[in-house]
Amino acid sequence: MAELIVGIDLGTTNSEIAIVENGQARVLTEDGDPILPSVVGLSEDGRLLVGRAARNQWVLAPDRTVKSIKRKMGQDVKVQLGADQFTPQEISAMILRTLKARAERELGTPVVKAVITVPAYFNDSQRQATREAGALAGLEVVRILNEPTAAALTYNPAAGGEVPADGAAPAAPPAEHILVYDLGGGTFDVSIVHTEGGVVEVLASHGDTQLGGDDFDELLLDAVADEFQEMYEVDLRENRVARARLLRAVEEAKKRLSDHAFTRIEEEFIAEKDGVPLHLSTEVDRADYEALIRPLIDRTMECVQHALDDAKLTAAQIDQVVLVGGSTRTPLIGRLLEERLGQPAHREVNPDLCVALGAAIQGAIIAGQNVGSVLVDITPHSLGIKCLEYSDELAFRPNEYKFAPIIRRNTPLPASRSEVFCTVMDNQPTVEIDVYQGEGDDVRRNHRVGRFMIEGLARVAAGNQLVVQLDLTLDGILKVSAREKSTGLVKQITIENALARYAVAERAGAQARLNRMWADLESLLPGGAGPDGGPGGDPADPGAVGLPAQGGGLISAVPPSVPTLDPGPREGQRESVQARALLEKADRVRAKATAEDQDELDRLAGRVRDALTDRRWGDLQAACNELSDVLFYLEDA
Amino acid sequence: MPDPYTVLDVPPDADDETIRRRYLELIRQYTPEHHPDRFAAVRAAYEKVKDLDSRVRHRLFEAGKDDPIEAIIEEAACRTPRRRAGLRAILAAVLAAP
Repeated sequence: MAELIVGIDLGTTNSEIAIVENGQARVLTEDGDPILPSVVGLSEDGRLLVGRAARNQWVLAPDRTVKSIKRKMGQDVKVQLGADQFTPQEISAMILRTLKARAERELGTPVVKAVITVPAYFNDSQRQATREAGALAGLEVVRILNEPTAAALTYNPAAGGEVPADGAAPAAPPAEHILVYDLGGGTFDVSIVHTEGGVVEVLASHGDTQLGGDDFDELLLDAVADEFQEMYEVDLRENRVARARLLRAVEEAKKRLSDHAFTRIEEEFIAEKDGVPLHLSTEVDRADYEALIRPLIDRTMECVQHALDDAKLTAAQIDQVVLVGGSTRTPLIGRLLEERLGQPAHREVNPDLCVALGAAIQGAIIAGQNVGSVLVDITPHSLGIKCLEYSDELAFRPNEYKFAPIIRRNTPLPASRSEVFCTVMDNQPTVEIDVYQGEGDDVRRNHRVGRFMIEGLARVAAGNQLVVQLDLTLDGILKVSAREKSTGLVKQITIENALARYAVAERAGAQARLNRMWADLESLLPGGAGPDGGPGGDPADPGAVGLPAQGGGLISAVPPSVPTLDPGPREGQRESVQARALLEKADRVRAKATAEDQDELDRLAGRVRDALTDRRWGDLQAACNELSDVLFYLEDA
Repeated sequence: MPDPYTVLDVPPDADDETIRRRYLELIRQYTPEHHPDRFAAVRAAYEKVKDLDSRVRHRLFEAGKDDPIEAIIEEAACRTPRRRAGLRAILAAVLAAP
């Protein structure tokens, strides 16, 4: 059997994990659900929550919950989660680790290797951060794959069929140009691929790493909050919990607007003014919503045009348009794309799942399984160095920030290119090689990926030639070397190391902390094996399968030590929110109440809290009603 | 720099279609994951000869950069395609332009 390499779509909003089995890619599910919300939280008692449970508590406890961490990947920031601060890599690692555990539970074998997808337009440090997140989660990331490319692999007409082992062409499906439009929660990508005879070649990629469905939510939130403020002079954005509730409400409304021409947004007790509770109740229609997000969609359409230009194709030459990402459910996108490209878009493969499926296919290719596809990917960004430019206008002062691209964007990987540069001063002993990524003519508009000095150059007149060579691997790892032509003196660096965000010790620390949190989570679960491995012990190690399963057959060798996560207040979500709002109000009213009333309030509030903790939704409703009656009476008094 | 026609194992007068088919065949055989060097060589060779424009550039500025101009003109004037028949058409256009 070929080695197992799983495919992971680490998304802004949702994440998935997939494998290829018997030549067929499938997404692994948990309780029938393939989607793991990319949300990480700490429960009230400090337990780690990942996925649905964390997403559900976000409205109640936004300060103990982190979502959309992908938008911060590669930035030098930390996020607060409970009492501690975490890097984006660590938060992402918790999501990856949950997915890894899911796969290990289902497959009954350890999972160590993975292909993880990133937006095509992610830059070097964003990719590096993703790699680090994988390492922290105990995964060897064998490939960082571009999301639209992954999606295109699932649409490759040659894949999935029987393929002769000698690599000969399968019964030739027609050559096709596919445009993949991928709009996720936080990022946008467009790629144009050419598929022919089982070879998937990416011709061009363009995108925006800070544009996604989250931005639609924010726009709608602002519109609704503005309207509310006009009516009641209360800004819902100022209170974290109110803002979180509103954000969830507009998210839901956005989804409903994909299928309906208008919808209502209703949130009770969302705020209070002069002791009077305020309810939010408003109607949004699709036309208004589309007008709001239109500027963002137009930006994506510009990217589409850029990609077409880069691929040297016209809209008429595109044979298929494929939509990827949950945000593409917005009907406006399908409409505008059809207008521009003259054909309806496809979504035969579930837009939420096809990236993970494609990642699994790529994993299988790397593992040596014959899945009938070969992928030729490209670098979406140009790479080059900073140099001096003497131009006519700047005769007296050269431009010091000229960007000289060496590997141009959309070059197939692996790529190796070199350029010759010259020293500018006589007897110049050193040259600084300053490497940037981007399309700007001025390096200050690009992203610096690393630099080094080449020293000990020959003492000769200006014009000493240096050959600068860039080697970019399939993974986007860059090797830069500079060679003095006359002497052969060489100096080189590998950017992978130059850019690592963690020192070795720091990484070990982060790893230990994650292991601890994971072990805590495990020990609290019924039937969990407990943190016997201690920090550093892999909770999913099949070696931990100590006792044979009681009465178990040979098949049921499922590692019992893999944690199941708290499913959270799934169905009681709305009731919990209302209950929280009531309890807060009770606290305020209590201060002004008589001792007798205080006792009554405490008794009723206690019942509400108990029902809330035990998730008895029926009892919760009854307790809330009683508390609400008493509050009403006390407020009036 | 190895001769792209040798790397791809196609005759010097191969047309776009033949070169493309051969390229796809080799890419399937030498995948980037398992034969990175061979893959890169095939890619580089293909880029040099994939269409008429690339082939002429390759002939003039890489394979033919040390050739005397007479040799190039002789080749362009040659009735049987030795390396590229298209070279003749391109050179004729270039000479007619100014």
